[in-house]
Amino acid sequence: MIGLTRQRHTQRLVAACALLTISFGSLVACGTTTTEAFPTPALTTADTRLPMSTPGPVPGAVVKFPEDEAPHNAITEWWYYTGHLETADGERYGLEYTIFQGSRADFPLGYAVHFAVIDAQQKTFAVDQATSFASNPIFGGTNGFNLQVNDWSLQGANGTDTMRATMHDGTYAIDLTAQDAVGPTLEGGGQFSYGPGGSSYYYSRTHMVPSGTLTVHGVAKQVTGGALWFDHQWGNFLPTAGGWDWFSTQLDDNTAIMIYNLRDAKGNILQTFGEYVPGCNGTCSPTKPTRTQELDRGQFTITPVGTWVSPTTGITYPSGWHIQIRASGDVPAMDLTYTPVIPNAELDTRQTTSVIYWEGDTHITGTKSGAPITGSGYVELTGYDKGKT
Amino acid sequence: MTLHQKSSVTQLQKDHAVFYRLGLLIYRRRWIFIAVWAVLLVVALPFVPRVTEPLKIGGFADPSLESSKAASTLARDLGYSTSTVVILFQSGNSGLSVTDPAFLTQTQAALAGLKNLPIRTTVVAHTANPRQISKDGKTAYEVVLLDADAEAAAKLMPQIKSALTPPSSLVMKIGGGPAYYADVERVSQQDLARAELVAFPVAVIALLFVFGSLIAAGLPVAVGGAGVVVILATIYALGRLMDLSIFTVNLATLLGLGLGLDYSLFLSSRFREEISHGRDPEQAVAVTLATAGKAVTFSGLTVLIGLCALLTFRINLLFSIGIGGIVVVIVSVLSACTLLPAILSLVGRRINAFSVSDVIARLRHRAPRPDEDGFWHRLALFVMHRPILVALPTLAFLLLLGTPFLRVQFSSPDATILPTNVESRQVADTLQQSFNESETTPILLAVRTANGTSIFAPDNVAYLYAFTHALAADPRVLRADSITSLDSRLTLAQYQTYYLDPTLVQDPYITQFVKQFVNKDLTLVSIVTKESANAASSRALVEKIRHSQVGNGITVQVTGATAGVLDVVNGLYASFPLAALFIVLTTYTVLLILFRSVVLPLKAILMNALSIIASYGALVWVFQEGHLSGPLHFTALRFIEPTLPIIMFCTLFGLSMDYEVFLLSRIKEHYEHTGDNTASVAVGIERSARIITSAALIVVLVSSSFVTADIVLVKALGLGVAVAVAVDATIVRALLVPATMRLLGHWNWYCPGWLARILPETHLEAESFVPPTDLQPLVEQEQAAIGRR
Repeated sequence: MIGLTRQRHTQRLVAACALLTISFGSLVACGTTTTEAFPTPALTTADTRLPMSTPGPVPGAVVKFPEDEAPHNAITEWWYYTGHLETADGERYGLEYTIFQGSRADFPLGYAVHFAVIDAQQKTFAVDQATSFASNPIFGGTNGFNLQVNDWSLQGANGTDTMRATMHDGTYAIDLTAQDAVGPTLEGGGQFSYGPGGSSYYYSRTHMVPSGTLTVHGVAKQVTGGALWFDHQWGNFLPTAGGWDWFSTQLDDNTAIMIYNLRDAKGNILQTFGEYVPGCNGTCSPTKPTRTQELDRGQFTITPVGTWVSPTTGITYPSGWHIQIRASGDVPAMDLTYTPVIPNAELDTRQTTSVIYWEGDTHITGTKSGAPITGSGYVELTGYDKGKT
Repeated sequence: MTLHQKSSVTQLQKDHAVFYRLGLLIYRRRWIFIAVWAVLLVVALPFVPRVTEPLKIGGFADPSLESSKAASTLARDLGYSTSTVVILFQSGNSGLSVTDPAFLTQTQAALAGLKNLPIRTTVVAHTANPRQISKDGKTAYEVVLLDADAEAAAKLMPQIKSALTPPSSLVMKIGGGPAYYADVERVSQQDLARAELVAFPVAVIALLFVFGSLIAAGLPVAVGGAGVVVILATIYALGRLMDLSIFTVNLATLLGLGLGLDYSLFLSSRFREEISHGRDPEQAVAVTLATAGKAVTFSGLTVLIGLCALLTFRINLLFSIGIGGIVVVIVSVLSACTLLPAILSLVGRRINAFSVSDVIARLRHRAPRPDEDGFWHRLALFVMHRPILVALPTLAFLLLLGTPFLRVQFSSPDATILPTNVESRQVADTLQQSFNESETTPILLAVRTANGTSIFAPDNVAYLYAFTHALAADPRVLRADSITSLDSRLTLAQYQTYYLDPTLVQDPYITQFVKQFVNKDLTLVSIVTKESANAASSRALVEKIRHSQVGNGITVQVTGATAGVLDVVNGLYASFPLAALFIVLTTYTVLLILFRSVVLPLKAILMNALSIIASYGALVWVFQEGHLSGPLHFTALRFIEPTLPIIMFCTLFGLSMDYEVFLLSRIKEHYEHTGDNTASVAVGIERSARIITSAALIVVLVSSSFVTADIVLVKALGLGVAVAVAVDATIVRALLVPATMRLLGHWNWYCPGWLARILPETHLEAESFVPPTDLQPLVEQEQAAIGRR
């Protein structure tokens, strides 16, 4: 009997211990550890040193029309119109109308527009700007470009472009069509370097004939003459330290010249570029690149002849230039003086593109192959705004 | 009376003499004690409404953790502000899209007044970061960086709100860290007021049922309430001296009401017994102190042990609750052992005045039964006749209740702890629904070069480029933002060139990036994951990064929501076993001395643990998984705040142990008289039934009143405590305790001889007590008492 009781006690004790064990076991949690790691980069010495040059656009790639008129999925792209308009009442107005397209990582495309007008008669300058984003951009295709930034627009295909915009204060409005008269020019063969910033694709329409209306202080004026210069540039590049001086030249003999200086942060010339466009000889088409003659680096000189200090930003810009081109091959000798129509053509666009620059209409006088010649041009000066942006 | 019984009585007298004398002192100087408490209350009352003023809203992180250090580094050296207010603009009925000029005009006008604030603010507009625009183009948000820490920013919220101009046709909502903090403070105060409003009347009704007298029922409420007032004022004072979390107030109120009412209940109950046994009020007060007063003090000590363990954690929330809890225990014990006896001295035999016993008796439809015929006695015997049959399913059921805890997901509290009608919660919900959820909770890396070399050095750029591209290639990564991954179309060579002098880079995108992401040798890498911050894949990614080397001596510290939670959870649960061991060992030692058994303390600890496991399971089932979210008015959290189980463990261990000790004391007492294990268990359960049931009921009711809180964390705490105490007072007490006591049989009382010799003799609340000067009548009273039972 005692044995039986003891046995029952033992059984109960075992059962109780089992309960205790099960219960304590339930309190124990197990964790896992991981030793997964990213491999430490094995870089070569060359990787860790500053590169001597930056890669350009895809080697061998060429600009094609009309495909490359359309927007590209590139970090930077712009459609850039500059030039002068002549109205029926004989007045002259300088015009800049530019749309920048910025693509950064997976952000929606960002757009900025600069719209500036120079009144040669009143010697006044007006500028306006706008930004917007595009959530569903369309790249490529053969339908050209169709850009809308708020209520400002720009459309174009096959060398016929239209632009519509009204400044927010109503000072100026444009409703213009620009038609390419000479065909596109492939600057640098269509591939253009921004030095350390990268490289781009680049073509110009050096002589576009404007038509339509320019509304000045509410008065619509018929545009009957003038000439616009159009640049379309794109690529995976970013403007870096320094800046550039860019000169478009539309001579009265229907020839054109583009000259360009790229400066580093200290003002040293990193790169120069010049291209002479002899003009259309009757076989040009808006979708067929025209013939060009690239200038040798030592073939031309640019000499500023004066300065202008902005009263609003305090920035000092060169103002007025003397450009000499030595004759070589098909390029005749030229000695040209560029005089700004007005000195104050400064654009403070920190609100949209974070820079302050100067861009204005110029009168050109001088000689070509020894004979007098005149013309019009637009000059763009960037990178003089150190510490201001 | 046996020799053993006589020796026990003598020891009993010694044990209780101090409390007995204290009781006599209080009776004789009752007005002084009442006056002291009155002064305390008068001094304390003005501070009660201001209790949250000095308290901190954050405190969920440990400053010694890697994620905290990295966050500090980023805040200090990069100005990476965690004090960011999010101003959400929705087109609403206007039909405007974000790209409409009118939308921009209105948002700019709304924010124009911010420049008048007394602190520096930086606005990151949606025009500068298009990721702040929703996919449907109808919603955008502006980020306002405040030059103030989170606490200061939260205090500034009223000024910030008044500086914002409501747009004419857009809907504007304010969210972000400071708004969330301010809302937590506001809602927390409302919760507290509501919980108190519910708890007090409910407790009074419960006490009426227990005592059947308005005076007897009112006394614990008055004393408990007085205790809470002093507790809150003390927390206010301590908050001025040290950093204490705002949640201290909620726990202190919950625990303060629970313990205050419980302790007062124990004493009042004993006092009534003594009066009913014919003692005069002076003796009744003294004996009450000597018995129930000592038990309450001992009980307070066990609760204190658990709460002291919270002080070992470096997370301010736990430390704060530890401090708050200690204040609660000390004040509750003091009020129960000084104020209540003083009032009882005044009330005397009128304790039973305004009786509602008849009404309650009619409601109960039954008359009191003797110990051997009570419900609990019969139930205990029923269980003990088939202990394994009862124990196994009961154990399985409790473990089943706990199983949801195996699915626990820990995460830091965010706006989801607030109700959906609170503005900062609505902003958080919109950010989650209309934007990529992970955008607002990236993994952040504080990357520092070796020897202070510039991060822009070509070699550092090269290593950073390789590392960030490896990160971006990981399938768990949606995007890795760094100064070398601005755009996949940019080459390493371009980056190296740009960063030769990044101050001259003209691109606003890069300029802004560099400004925000770099300071000399330090740079930020921000990783947006494909899954949420709380996902296992995101946590694995953090671990992987921590095991990786960038190369070139570059070091990486990881922070952000994922790393923060990982560190806090790892840190907490690395320290928790030690803290738990401390609680368990200390409790074991105390119970060993009390019960003179090596088995009973172990069993008591196990029973406690089971109640807590069940409440853990309930927490996950309800709050993480969202069951009962409708009736309880909340949306599923999808996580459990990692400190919550620890707070509950440390709080409940003491609280539940209280009932266990009370129960086992009664069992042991009878066992010492009879030596009959089974009978002792049944009698012990029956005799302690009313008081344990009442005490547990009050704690459950008080805790449940916190379930009315709007802040889900407070709701969870209330429910967790209620479930644990309810399980402990019902399933564990009625089924598991008798079953295991029966299974263990005489092993329950096993104590090796050598151990018994060195253990001190002590007793808790005795069935009967005789004053030290009245030894002889003790024997008669003991015999009479035994005879009565």
